[in-house]
Formats: sequence, C-alpha cells, structure tokens
Amino acid sequence: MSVAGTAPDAPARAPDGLVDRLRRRWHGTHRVDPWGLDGDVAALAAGLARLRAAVRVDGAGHLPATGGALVVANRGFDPAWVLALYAGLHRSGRFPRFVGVPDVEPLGPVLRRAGAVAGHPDEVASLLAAGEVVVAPLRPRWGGRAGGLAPDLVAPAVRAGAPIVPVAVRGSEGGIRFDLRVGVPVGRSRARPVGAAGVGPGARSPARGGRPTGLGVGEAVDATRRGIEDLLGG
Amino acid sequence: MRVLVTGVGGELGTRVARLLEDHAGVTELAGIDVDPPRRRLRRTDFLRVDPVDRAAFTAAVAAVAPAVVVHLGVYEPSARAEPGLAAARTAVGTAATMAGATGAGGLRRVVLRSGVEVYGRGRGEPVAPHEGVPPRPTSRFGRSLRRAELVVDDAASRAGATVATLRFAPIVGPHFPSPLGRLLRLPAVPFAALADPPFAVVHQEDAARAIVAAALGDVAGVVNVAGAGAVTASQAARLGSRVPVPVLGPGWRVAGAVAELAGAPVPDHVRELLTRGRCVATARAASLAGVAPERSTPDVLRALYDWAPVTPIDVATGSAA
Repeated sequence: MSVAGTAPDAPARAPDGLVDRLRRRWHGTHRVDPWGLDGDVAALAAGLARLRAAVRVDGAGHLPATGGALVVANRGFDPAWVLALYAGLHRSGRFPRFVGVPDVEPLGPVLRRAGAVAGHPDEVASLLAAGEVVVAPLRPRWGGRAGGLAPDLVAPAVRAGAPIVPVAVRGSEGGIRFDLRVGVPVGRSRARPVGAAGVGPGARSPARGGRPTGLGVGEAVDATRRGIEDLLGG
Repeated sequence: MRVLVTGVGGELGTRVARLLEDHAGVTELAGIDVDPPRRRLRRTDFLRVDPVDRAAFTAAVAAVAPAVVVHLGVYEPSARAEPGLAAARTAVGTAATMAGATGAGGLRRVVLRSGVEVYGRGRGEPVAPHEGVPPRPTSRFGRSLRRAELVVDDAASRAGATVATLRFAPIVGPHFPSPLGRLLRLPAVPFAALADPPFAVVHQEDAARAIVAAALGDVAGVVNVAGAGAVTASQAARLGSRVPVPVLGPGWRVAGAVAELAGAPVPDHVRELLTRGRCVATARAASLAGVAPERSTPDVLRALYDWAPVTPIDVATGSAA
C-alpha cells in the first residue's frame, strides 16, 4: 500500500508477535474498549484487510492525527470497499469505527471486536467525545453519484465541533486495487495550511476544544455530499 | 457546613464519612443508616434508623437540618440486602431523606449516588451512553435508581438546592459487598458465549473521592463515573486466574443457581451486565477536578483479585488452619 500526500507516519509500535498476543489473551491483559474494540483483533483484521486490498491514499493529511472526527465515505456496505477503507484509514495509526453494526448476537459483538459500532447518534457522540474516528457511509445510489447522508449521524459531529471529512473510494482491477481520496474537512478552506486548524499531525482537534466547522447540520450534510462528489469526479 | 451522609453503614458510606471528617470546612457531620459504620468514625454523629421506617427516618434527618446531603442510602440488590428489601429501603429512604432535609430548611446541595444501570441495555441503545442519553432502565436496580433520581431532583428543585447525580459503574473492590465482585471471585466465572460484552467498574476508593469532591465542590447535574477502559467477563476471569465458563440461553438459570449456592447470587442487573455489557462515556467526569477515577477498570479487577481470601484461624493453636 502506498500513501500519497501529507500522511502522518503510523505511530511507532513495539513488535508484537503471535506469542505475545496469545500470552496476553491467556492472562486477560489484552485491551478492550467500552465500545467493544479488541486491540489485537482489530490489528489482525487490519492486517488481513491490507493483504486483501491494495490501497493508494491521497490526502491522508486531512485526517486529524488526534481527537474525534467523522469520516463520511461514498460506499459503506460493500465488503470489499469496507476493507479498502479499513486498510487505508488504519494507516493513520488509529482504528476507524464503522457505524451500522446490528445489535444482535453473535454478529454484533464479533464486528465490534474489529471496531464496528452502532449507527446510533448518541453512540457517535460518545465516540467523538472520546477522540475516536467514526466512519459513516452515504446511502448507496446508482449512477456514479453520491447518495444521501443521514443527518442524525452528522449532528453529533456538528455539535461537538469535530471535523467532518469526506472520503471517496474508487476500485479497480477486480476489487483488489483501490484509490482512497481524503478530502478537506467540510467548512474549511483548501488554502488553510494543514495543521493550522486541527487537521494535521499534532494539531489540536476541534472535538477537544479546537475550532468548529461553523456549519449547521443541513449545511454540513450538503457540503459533505458535495465534497465526496468532487472527490469522485476529480 | 453541616453535612448528612445517608447509608453511612455501608463500606462506601463509612469511607466517605471518614474523608469528610478530614475536611476542615465540614463543621458538623452526621451519618444515618440501619447498620452501624464499618469502621470507627471520630466526629460523625451516627443515627441508627431503618430507612423503611419513614416517619422516624424523616424526623431524624430533619433534626440534623443539613446544608449538604450525601445520599448514599441506595441499596444494591444482593449486596447488603435481598432485592425486595433493598428496593424498599432505597425508595422509602430516599423519600424520607428528602422530606426531612427540605422540611428543615437550609438545604443547599444534594449528592446522589446513582448508577449506570439507569441507562438500561435495551436492543439498539448505545453501549456506552453519555450523560445526555435518556435513562431507560431495564433491570430492577436500574428502575430503583431512576426513581431515586427523580425523587431527589423534584424535592431539591422545590427547595432551590443543587443536585449532583453521580452515576457510578459497578463499585467493586476488596471488602466491598457487591454481587458482581462476589461472582467474579468464584473459582469459575460465567460469561455469555455469543457476546462476552465489555463492562467497566470503579474502585470503592475512587467512588468515595468522587462523592467527596462533588459534595465540597461545585459539581451539578449528572456525571458518569467509571474506571478507564473495559474488560469482558471471560477476560476478568483470566485476570483473576479463574476458569471462564461459556453460558448460553437457559444455561444462565443453571449458572445463577450454582453461583447462588456458592454464595454469589446473580441479580438481574448483574446478569444483564454479563450478557449485554455495561459501559458509559466518561468525558464529563474527566473534565471535573477530583471526580475522574485514578484506577482503570483492569486495575480495579486486579485489586479485587489481590484481596487475600479469608483464612480460618485454629483457635487452639492460634495458627492458620
């Protein structure tokens, strides 16, 4: 996988072998977060996603290095595209939290281990407040254009002042190679230098008290859809 | 400042009273409960009254005429009392406390020990609710806590007093009577085979510190208090070198019966925790001085498991049997 643009390097991690992970599980010292994410399972899933999908990322620097953010992608229900998003966004050093997991055992808890969460506005609000990157899909739509976006998923980000980042995924070569284009967070100027408004490496996130988008929910939804359409058309 | 601590006979109540005794701003301190304090209190006036005796409890609280009420008289089922008695003590004791405190005049602040059980774990609800999520309790303890919150809010608003409602994750730790703590210390710990969802807990000392900070500070409104991170039941069993036992559907009846025989009854809110999980968002607590717990959830469980088991003493020889 290659990363273009101003992508931050993935944080340095101590090499973690299979034996270490098995030992952690045996002793119960592996990490689980309140939304069900299991660090070892998520790392394994991200590794498998990288094996399955070769992803080229453009504009990764638009993703905040810390703090909460809502990423809106053009497709979310196609497993191959989910893998591409998972592999691409994982390069930021953070686990993307895909909304839409059903609250049914055993499917829900299994998907939560890898980072999925419910598409509940209050769950999105809690995740953003905890500084997580939440990924919400547009509704599928035929004809190469972006579909609709549920305002109740955008509202928590607007209220929290978290960046809303449009992302477009385009596939090729039999669903193996993908282009992942990360757009400028909605409500911000392209001319603003990366890092000055909480969107670059080490910048302060609006979800942690930085600069909000200044948009209403409806405006944010429209701007996000336009942003994704621009990325798809560019 | 005259402070009244209800539920002072519990582990948490006694610890809170001791912390308040150390504070110079607390000029007069009284405690009330059906059980005596679990440790010696130096300058706390203890009133032994059963919360279900509403008239006597109201009169005792009114006689104290507190400026600050720390209401810890919220009884968890199967902790210090069986579920029916725990619910009755909570309901009547809360109403009597507020009637006595507001009737005496001078009430300025109420700190209520509530729990994250008030959010419930209905299908489709957020797994880690923040303070703004409407409570929809789905367990007996959750409904009991919610009723207490409503009674306290109503009475305090009529009296013009501030209310700080601390919704605690299950409080566990050494010496703390808790059905979850007892269950996790059994040699074998049941977990939901198809889910094994995460839950968070809080240490008794962190809970006591948070209550004192709320009583003496300017905390108002609802605050979720839970140790950072989360664990699953099978993970907790591993942390304590216990045997995790997968349980499915009707198997919970068997697991509950076996656990009760072993001295660890499983009330519905604990079973809900094991099958549906119980976490909360704690961003607000993190922003309040003294309220955020110091110990993470895994650390709290390690402390629970490090608590040495009771060793019988051979009276004849004076040595451990």
